[in-house]
Amino acid sequence: MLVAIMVTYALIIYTTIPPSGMSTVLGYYASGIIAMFLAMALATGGVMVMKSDRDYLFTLPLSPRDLSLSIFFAQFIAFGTTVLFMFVYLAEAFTSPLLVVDMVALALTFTSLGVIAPLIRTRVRIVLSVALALWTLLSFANFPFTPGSAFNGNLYGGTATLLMLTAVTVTFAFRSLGRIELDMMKSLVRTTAQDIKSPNSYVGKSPLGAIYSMNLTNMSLAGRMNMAGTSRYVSRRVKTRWVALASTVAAVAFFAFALSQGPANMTNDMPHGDVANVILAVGLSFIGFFFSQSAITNERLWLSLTSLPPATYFKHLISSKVVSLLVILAPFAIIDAALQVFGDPEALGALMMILLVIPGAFVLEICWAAYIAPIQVKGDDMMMPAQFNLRQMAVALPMGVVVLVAVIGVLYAPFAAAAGLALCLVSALLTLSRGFWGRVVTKLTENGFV
Amino acid sequence: MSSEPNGAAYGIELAHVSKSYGSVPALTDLSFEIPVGGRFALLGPNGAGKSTTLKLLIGSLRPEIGSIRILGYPPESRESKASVGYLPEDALPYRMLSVRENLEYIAALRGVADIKGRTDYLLDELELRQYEKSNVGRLSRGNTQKLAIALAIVHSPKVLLLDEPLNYLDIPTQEKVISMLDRLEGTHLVSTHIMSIANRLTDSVVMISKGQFLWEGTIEELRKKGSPDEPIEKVVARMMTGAT
Repeated sequence: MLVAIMVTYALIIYTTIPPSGMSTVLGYYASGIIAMFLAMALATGGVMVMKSDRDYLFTLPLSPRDLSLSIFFAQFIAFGTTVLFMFVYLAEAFTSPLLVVDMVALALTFTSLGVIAPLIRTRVRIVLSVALALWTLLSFANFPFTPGSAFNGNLYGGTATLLMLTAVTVTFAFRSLGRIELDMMKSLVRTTAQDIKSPNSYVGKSPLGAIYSMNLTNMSLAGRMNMAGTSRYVSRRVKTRWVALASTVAAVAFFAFALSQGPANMTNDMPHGDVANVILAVGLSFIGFFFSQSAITNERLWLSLTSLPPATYFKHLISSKVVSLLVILAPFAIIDAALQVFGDPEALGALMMILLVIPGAFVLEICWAAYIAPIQVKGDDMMMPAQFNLRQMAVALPMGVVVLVAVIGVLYAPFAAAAGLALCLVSALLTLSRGFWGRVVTKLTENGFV
Repeated sequence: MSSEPNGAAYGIELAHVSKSYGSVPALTDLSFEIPVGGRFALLGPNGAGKSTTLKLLIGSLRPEIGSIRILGYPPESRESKASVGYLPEDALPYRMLSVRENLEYIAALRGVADIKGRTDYLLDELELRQYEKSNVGRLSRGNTQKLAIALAIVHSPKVLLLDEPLNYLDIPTQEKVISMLDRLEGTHLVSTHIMSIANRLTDSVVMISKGQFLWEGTIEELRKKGSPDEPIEKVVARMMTGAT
């Protein structure tokens, strides 16, 4: 699926961006990817091991350090492949062999951050993750000493910075690996669960009121992480008001960025405006996708569907999820409406994407995931590769279409409007279909949903 | 006589039910009834179709052939859903909610009138009070099972379907749960492959094997099928394997 998305993305870049604009695209793309990976590696990192490793490999009489190093090396290969994959499409814009050194350094840094991450307290980790991402994004402002600067026209300063960061993180990682006990390593792959500080109350709520209350007060994001051949589902509960705040801050930042490109760039054929809006639409589409995956994977049929008829329950569950999604999207919709007023020609297409395509696709992604055998999140344990099959891998297929629609839709607003209306219509019909949800329940049950 | 408003004599009725997964038959022409108020164990070896039977009874699966009634209603009806409490094997509550949130949420979904009172009662009864704010993902397997039992009975169901209810529970907790279930009124069907659990929780048995009905009767009748000093498990094993 990732291959399909990246090939689509590469084709679009090659066909829509003139050669003269390629280095600019590389800059935006590389810095964005690096910022995201640095933040994710530190925020959610951990030593990735399979359940079979924990059950069998770790119990063998092998040196803990040898085991740790072998796992580190496996993760480095996995990250290295990912980095290679992410950048290979822009090989044309690689003007110096030093950029290849940068890629190796990036893979080492991502891997090392993953090892260090669990040893740092959660709050510090989050702050450091955000700081790393913001530091990297400073390369957009032509700051020469960030991990992304080498790809933004500051080859030597950026490379030197990246190598220093790599040296620091790898040193810490190797020192940590030497100290990590196997028990600790086992615990690294588990979520640290704490008491819920401000729990929701459902006292006095009607059945439907409870569904809306649960889904509008908190949001759950889920995604499958697959590193070094090890898959695990990660799902997190976040207060909706915090998500709304984060979304608003991001939208304002995007607004400032778009305005910084200047009205001249907005109305001519320079790639800045196009790319920024496409990246926004694609990025929000992915958020919608991740959000859609938690709708069913965290469901408990033995509780919800023994309480209410499936069609009733799912209709209101999905409606509440759509409202939650719109909370994330609303600030960006307002910003795009404002950009349209300021003369950004792609803002209208992006607005159609946000208001119609992404919510419509979101519902279809839930229905699709439910219909083609999703995996239920039962715990934080690693999942064995044998637990996946091709159909389950196909859950992400609609994202390829959504990315394609996002790219075309941002450039041609009428296309986005038409595609969005069609998606919303199909979504509404499916949501209201008793027969569809009856079949879904059978499929979920037969696929082991409890 | 039934005390049900619709005059149903049976809490659970299956008539000639067949269900398969693809080409693999799970149940074949399965029929049995459990009278209102009956306490029955559903016994069978691994793969006999016990869990499938329970999933059919709650309406998560539908039979290809045959009919099912809960207190006279189809399993997918609102009346049936309101009456049934279900505990699956390895039950998992909502793991991103706290213990109290789980109980209150399901009580609200079930339309329980006194959500707070019922939640507090179950938290105390199953000794979960100290974990009420805990994220369910943090609970031990035993405490998760206690919460799951509480969720299955939060609405005081008239028909209770339990799949291996004592799994993961320590012995004192098992005794507490057995005592609590004993006090609950209604029709109970307990799926298990452990005879001692069937003996503690029920007084009658429906035995199935390879998806087919094998035998039905009281535990006392089952005991009498063996010699006086023969363990009841041996009798059951003999019946399930068809050995003489």
